[in-house]
Amino acid sequence: VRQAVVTLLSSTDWAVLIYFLAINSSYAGLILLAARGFHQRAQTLSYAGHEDVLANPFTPSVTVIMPAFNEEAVIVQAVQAMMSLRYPRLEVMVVADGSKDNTVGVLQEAFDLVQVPKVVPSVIPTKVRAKSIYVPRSGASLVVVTKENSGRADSLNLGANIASMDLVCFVDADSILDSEALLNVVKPFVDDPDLVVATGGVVRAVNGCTIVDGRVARVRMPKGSIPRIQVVEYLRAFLLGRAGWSALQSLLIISGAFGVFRRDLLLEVGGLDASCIGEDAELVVRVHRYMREQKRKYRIVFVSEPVSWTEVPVTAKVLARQRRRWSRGLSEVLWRHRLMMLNPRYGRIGLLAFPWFFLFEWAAPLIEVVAAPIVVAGLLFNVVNFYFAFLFVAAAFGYGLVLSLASLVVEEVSFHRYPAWHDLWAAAGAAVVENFWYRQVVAFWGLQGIWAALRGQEAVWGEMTRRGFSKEEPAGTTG
Amino acid sequence: VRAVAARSLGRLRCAEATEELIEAFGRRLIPRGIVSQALLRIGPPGVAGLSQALSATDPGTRSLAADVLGRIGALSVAPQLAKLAEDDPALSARVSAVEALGRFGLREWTGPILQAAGRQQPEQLREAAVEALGSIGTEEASSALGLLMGDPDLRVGARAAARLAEVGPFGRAALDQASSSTPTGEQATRAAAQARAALALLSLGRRAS
Repeated sequence: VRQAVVTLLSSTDWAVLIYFLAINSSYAGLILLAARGFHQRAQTLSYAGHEDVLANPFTPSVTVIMPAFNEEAVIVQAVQAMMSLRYPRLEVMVVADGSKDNTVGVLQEAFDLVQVPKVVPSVIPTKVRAKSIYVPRSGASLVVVTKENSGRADSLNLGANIASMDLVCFVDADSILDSEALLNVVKPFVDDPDLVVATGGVVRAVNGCTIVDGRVARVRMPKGSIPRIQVVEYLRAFLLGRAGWSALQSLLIISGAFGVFRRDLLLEVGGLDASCIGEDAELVVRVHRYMREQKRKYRIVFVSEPVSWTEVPVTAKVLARQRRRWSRGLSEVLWRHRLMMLNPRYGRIGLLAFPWFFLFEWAAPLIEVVAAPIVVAGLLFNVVNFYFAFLFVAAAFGYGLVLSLASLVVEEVSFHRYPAWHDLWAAAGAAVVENFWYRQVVAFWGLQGIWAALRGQEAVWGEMTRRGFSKEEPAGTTG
Repeated sequence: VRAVAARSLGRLRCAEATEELIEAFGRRLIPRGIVSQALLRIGPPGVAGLSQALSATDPGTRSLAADVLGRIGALSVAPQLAKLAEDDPALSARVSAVEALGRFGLREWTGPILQAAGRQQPEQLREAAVEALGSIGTEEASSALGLLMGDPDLRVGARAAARLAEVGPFGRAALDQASSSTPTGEQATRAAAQARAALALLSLGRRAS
């Protein structure tokens, strides 16, 4: 029996070591691809035609759809900020998802809304219908839709049915967009309207930043290790990871906090799947699948510069809920579209992105959680020596730390969003800490999410307390 | 580099580059948006090259040419656009041609637009036709929009009502009639609902969709 255990541990230890080398090397590749893209972008920025988008008659019109559930504290500022985005033809739509608070009331008061008898098409089937539709008496381009509570995805689908513009942009009510964000994220549609069907902008953590009039006025690192580590994590995974996948034309995830889709295609594919907890990723995967099955040429583009700022969880409880949900969502997406896995019909999505997400995103929590105990067991059973243990620590943690620090360097060189040195030092410190407790804890929560998906437990979004961005002070210090 | 060159040629209003720009798009060397904007900047001097492109073998090129000609206001190519709107095998080219005829706003081209608004036509084409009828705004166009308000496709109906709200006395009369009469049948009920929505928004001074 001992021999069998020794053999098992020996082979498992090496497999785990190779796994960590592979996952970190793949991230290194994505970071390099992203860095190359950022470099090219910097070189061409002055003559890329960004200034043309505002006055270009071919610039498509956009409906920004903002689902709102109990967002009384932030909704008026959020709508005002959206309506003041620099964009030529913009409609802002709030879908009040059966809020229990006074979300609709504060909007009615702030924008002098009047009810109108609008006819709502149901191209995308929705669980509930619109109860009432309001527009401002002033004629401002705002639409407020009220409905019974049926969740975020169903709200967005109802909004897409009502939207009248060429493109729809999904944002969260607590998202803060840079004033040029919409112009930048729509630019790929302006340049190549035949091919581009969806774009996503980068999402960054707003915690610690100073907000003035619904805009991020000063970028700072948050206080507290949990949001700080997430800043580094968002840079590595959301900024560099997605930019890398976009360079490979295999982007599978566009964040629900800031994504733009062609309205006609969104209606064609049936909108978001309200039964899937990872509905944002599921929609992107479904678009890939649909376009490839139809043999239509298309592009889904990640745009690294327009920034949507969002409050990240500051407590372990809320973070755990979010990560269980993400992990569960990924499980559902991979399962629903398992036909695409290693299927040449779906090109690099099936042959590259899907296997990568399965091996290095879905399975990572499992490996992460069991890896350390296996190596410790290997040491106890004298299956591995201290040289192997050193190699393991270097591959799993040292390499991960190098990648996090490299992400910070690439971000700093390309975008220089954190002007103060002490913020950069804080980010570097967070990158170190991330590898030695955060990753393992997050992996455990991820494992719980996978387990919930396997058991078919009912998915719950949960609530995240917002503190509002109206005051001129750092955001997200509570919550 | 090619994209920057195309933008520069457009800014220089270099009419000699019209054919090269169209060809570059046809070979998909430069994306459509960049070529379209450059050709629009070149404007009327590029009409000859663009009208030739209406008979290109590539449907994308025909669609691009129709789109830009409509925005330039090249009335001389209206007969070619009407033909494209009626019988081009590519939907994108037909849609662009209908949109272009709508931009011209000339009553003599109502026929091909009405044909494009027919119930058997694809939704995208019908929506373009409704917009075009609204731009023409004659009594004939308004009557057609009045019928389209009751379309089972609620998007088409809403657009028709919205355009009627903008076309002046004919449109307003059609909306008033549809909203005030007692509807008999599904189509009339839909038309009445769309008309009421458009009138409500009209009273607030905003477009209905």
